[in-house]
Amino acid sequence: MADENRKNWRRRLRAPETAIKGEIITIKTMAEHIMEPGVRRDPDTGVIYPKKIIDHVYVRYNGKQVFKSQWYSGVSANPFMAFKLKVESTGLLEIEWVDDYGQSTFKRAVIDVYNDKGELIYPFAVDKPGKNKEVI
Amino acid sequence: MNRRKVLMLLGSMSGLFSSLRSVAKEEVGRPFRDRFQSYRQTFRVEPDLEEAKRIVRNIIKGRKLRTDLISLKAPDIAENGNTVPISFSVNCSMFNEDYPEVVHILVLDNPFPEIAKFYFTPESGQADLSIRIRMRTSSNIIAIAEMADGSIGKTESYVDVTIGACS
Repeated sequence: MADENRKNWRRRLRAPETAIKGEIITIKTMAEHIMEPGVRRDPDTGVIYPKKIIDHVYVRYNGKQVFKSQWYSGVSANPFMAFKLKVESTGLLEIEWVDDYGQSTFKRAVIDVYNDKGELIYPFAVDKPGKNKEVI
Repeated sequence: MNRRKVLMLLGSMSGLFSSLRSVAKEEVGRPFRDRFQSYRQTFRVEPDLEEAKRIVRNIIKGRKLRTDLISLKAPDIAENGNTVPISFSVNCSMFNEDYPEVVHILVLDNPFPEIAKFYFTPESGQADLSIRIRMRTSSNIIAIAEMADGSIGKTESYVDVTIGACS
């Protein structure tokens, strides 16, 4: 039982480590989950396996929600999802899978975004040393 | 006399054990319901086409359907109904009001026709997504895109399923 639970908690996220500003990147996610639809019966005993699915997936970039999806029992087991995201600055990509029972699991990745000159773009304003002398 | 008593005791014991075993067998056969099943689950196992069509009508709400708004890619023949890979893309520029707010995926012959809803924002850059779904029998997959400016688009594609899923 413990092993089965651990299986349901494994999550995968594949995103590029670096990107150019304004690039549309592909993000691939997979959650290892049984996605029990709640209709299946045990062939020997007639027992209905209780429903257990992932019903919400939230995607946040630098804390802002950029994509959301709601799933029902029709999504296959070990659900795979690939989608696009436009990145403008370096940031933290966070994906949250919420279970039928309200349990949520997270997976995070950092994407470094550069401009054409090869400089890193920060998600906040940065004063360059030397140019602005008032900054200590 | 003594021997007879012992034999009777043994007989009653064995009878008790056998009765216990029969009770245990009956217990196993009963369907199991957990505490939250009453409100989490409805036992609508058989597909209901009328209700599925009503769901689609509620999404469209009598609006005029745009053609070539959404394109759906699905295999012609799916050997296993448990994992049918599909992907869709919405033909739009993701600037103000020209992005899909919701994209619905439906399979009307499934007992639960709604499969997924996807809520996009302009930050996603391109409304392009791929996912794997379950299908019970060979039927149409319907994808409906609701745009932020109120227009709506719909496509269908037929998939032949050899071994259906139980969903």
